[in-house]
Amino acid sequence: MGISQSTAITSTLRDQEINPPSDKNFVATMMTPAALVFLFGILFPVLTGLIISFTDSSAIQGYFGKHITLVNYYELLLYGGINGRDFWQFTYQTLFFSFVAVSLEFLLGLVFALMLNKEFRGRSLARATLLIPWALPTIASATIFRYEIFETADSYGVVNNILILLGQRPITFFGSDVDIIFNLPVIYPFDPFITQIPITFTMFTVIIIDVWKTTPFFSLLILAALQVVPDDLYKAADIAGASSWQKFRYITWPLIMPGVGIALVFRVMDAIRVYDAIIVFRDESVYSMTKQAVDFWALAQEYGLASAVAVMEFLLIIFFALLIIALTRRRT
Amino acid sequence: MKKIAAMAIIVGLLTISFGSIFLGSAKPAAVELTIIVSDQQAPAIEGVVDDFLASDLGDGVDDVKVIASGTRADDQLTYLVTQMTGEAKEFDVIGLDPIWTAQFAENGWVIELTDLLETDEMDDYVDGMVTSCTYEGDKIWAYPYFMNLGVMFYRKDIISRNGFTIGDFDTWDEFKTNTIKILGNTTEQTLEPDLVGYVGQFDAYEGGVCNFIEWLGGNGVTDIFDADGNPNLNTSKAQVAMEFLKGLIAPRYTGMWDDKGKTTGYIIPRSGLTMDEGSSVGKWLAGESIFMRQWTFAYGSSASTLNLNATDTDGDYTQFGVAPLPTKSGAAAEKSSVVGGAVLSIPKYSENQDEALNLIRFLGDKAAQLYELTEVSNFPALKAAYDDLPAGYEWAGEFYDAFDKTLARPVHPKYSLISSSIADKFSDLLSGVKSVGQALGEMDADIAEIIGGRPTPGFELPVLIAAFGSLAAIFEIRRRKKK
Repeated sequence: MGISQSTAITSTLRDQEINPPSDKNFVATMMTPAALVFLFGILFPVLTGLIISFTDSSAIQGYFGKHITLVNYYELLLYGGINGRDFWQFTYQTLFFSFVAVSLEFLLGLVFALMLNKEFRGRSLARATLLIPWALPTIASATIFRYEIFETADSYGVVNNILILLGQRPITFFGSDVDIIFNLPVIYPFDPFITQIPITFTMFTVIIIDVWKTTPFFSLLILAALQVVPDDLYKAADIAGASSWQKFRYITWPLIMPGVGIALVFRVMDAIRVYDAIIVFRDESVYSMTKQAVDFWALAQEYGLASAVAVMEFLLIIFFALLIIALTRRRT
Repeated sequence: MKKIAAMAIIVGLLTISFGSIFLGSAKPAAVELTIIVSDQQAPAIEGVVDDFLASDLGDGVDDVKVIASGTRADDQLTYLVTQMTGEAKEFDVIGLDPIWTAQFAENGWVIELTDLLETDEMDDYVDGMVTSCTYEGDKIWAYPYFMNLGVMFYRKDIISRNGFTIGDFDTWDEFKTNTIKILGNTTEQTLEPDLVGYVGQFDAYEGGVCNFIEWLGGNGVTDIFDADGNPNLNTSKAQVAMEFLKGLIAPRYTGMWDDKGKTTGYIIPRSGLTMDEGSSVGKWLAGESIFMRQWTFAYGSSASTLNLNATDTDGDYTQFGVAPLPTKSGAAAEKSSVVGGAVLSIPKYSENQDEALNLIRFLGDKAAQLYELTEVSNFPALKAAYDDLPAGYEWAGEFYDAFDKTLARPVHPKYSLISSSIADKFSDLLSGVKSVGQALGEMDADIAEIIGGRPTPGFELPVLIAAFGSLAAIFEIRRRKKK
């Protein structure tokens, strides 16, 4: 009975002619809420930020400033004062962080996704467990990492206490004592033009935290992309005698690339905006562009400068997003 | 019929509204004061509102509305700045962190109180608090409300069983040698293998800046600016202070067992470099430090910790005590205790400034100050309040000795930026990344740049315009191509 009933319903649905709504008023009604949210929730703040970045807005001058000026961009990009030096340093640090962290997350995420795509006992549990780090607020996990896990041994740092128990040398994960791993040569558009930014161990500590947190995100998105790869292709490849690397290279990879591209765009956006993972370490050598924008806004009340940093960050994100989309677009 | 009813209603409404205007004008205008303070401070004011209204100072005031502006200082500042830039008239008294006074005065958001006060009115308050209220010479812009100060907690039991009293730690040299003696005592090492000499707040943040200012104050450097208002940190006195402090800290961390000062002659553990209020008080409450620089709140925490709260027959705590931080010469005149807390100001846009001043004076008076202590455990800024402390709060008197040693943080409208710069360089200085002279020199250079004006673009301006122009052009070309 159940079967005949459902067949009946499907056939009535099929019989009815379903037309898309053609009434303009109806379309307008449906669109208005979304349009309003877009207008007031997204467009208005972005435009306000853009306008403020071209004014001398500050606590003293008022939110919209008194003059339209390029001085904010000049000070950040070309002047070479304390704010400009910080800006370039933090920008390079942000880029370094994003590049290393996202690369690691991508590789690990791919490995996890391929593993979770195999049938095995407890797969659902593994998939659910993987998401826990991603579900925790970053500020909370970063604080736990700093004060509980990566602290020095006499301040109850778990890792260092274990190292000492094993008779190993403890590691300084952060603080002013950390080792400089290497100096990153960079270009400044003002004197001294070519300089070196020390990349400290703290940077890698932050990267470890970020990788720990966001690898699951990558795995999940890649796993979703893997679902669309038809099994028939693998069977055909097996018959043709393809190796597992060849199967990955010529079947899996081309098919999941668009999905991976979207995941990469999301992650790069997030990585460039990094803030909560770095502030708990109170170390200039890991500060990001967002940190500088927030400081300009909240500490110095230089709203114009803060907006200018935010706009530059926005442009950087757009640049990388376009780049990644262009690189991962499916070639036909 | 309906029309008549509608007319009647309109006439009735008009009568009521006009009537109320006439009635209202017959009585003197009602003054309702609005005061905005942090969440933590609000209950202490709400509790004395009735007393204020009943007192002479409350004449002509009908009611006081207390608004709580949040728990975090940063949020509070952002909110107040927004209100002040918007020339909000609704606030008559605003509570400020002492480090904001200069910014609010400089921007003309609060009125100058100097001429409205008695000439010696400020003498009744703790020095550091009064300095925090002062900006542009001797002009007073705020009224002391309550304070928080940096003091040294010490382990009474440990130093006495090693044959010392707290008087043996007054000068820097005594402090160093005697602490090393205690750490070298094998009995102490057995009792607490993790014992260190001293913990404070040395991480790169506002707390670190307070510690920095205190160590400078210990060698007589009480102002980071010279008489002309230029930064003046890289002086021989400041260098001596910093070299001494650096000499207390174990050099590069090499492992658990080198780090105790027992054999090495250092009293601050290497991990102390990244400590803040939370981690330093944790070390202290675990019984693992002989001395700790901390804000007054730690007294309550110590008294409620089983490790530390043993008392004698009189009920005095036998395991811990508080003292001013040591200074180089040990002289009472040296200032070594930074104050925090809150001050009260009157916004320029307030329409009830006379009544607002009365409210501020009432809150600065003994009754309200003591209520503040008992109700929310904030320390009175009024010296006389410590003469007869209420039962159960006699211990607050232990801080009295530190009052003469109070120091204000630099009073400057751009304090927050100055503070970030100092915090980073201080951290580099202590860890040895930068030499003392280099770090202090960089602080001077940074501060000079921060307090200097904004740059003006020269020939680079066309470059910028070209850059933005070409960016816009690229987008436009792409758009047209797509079409």
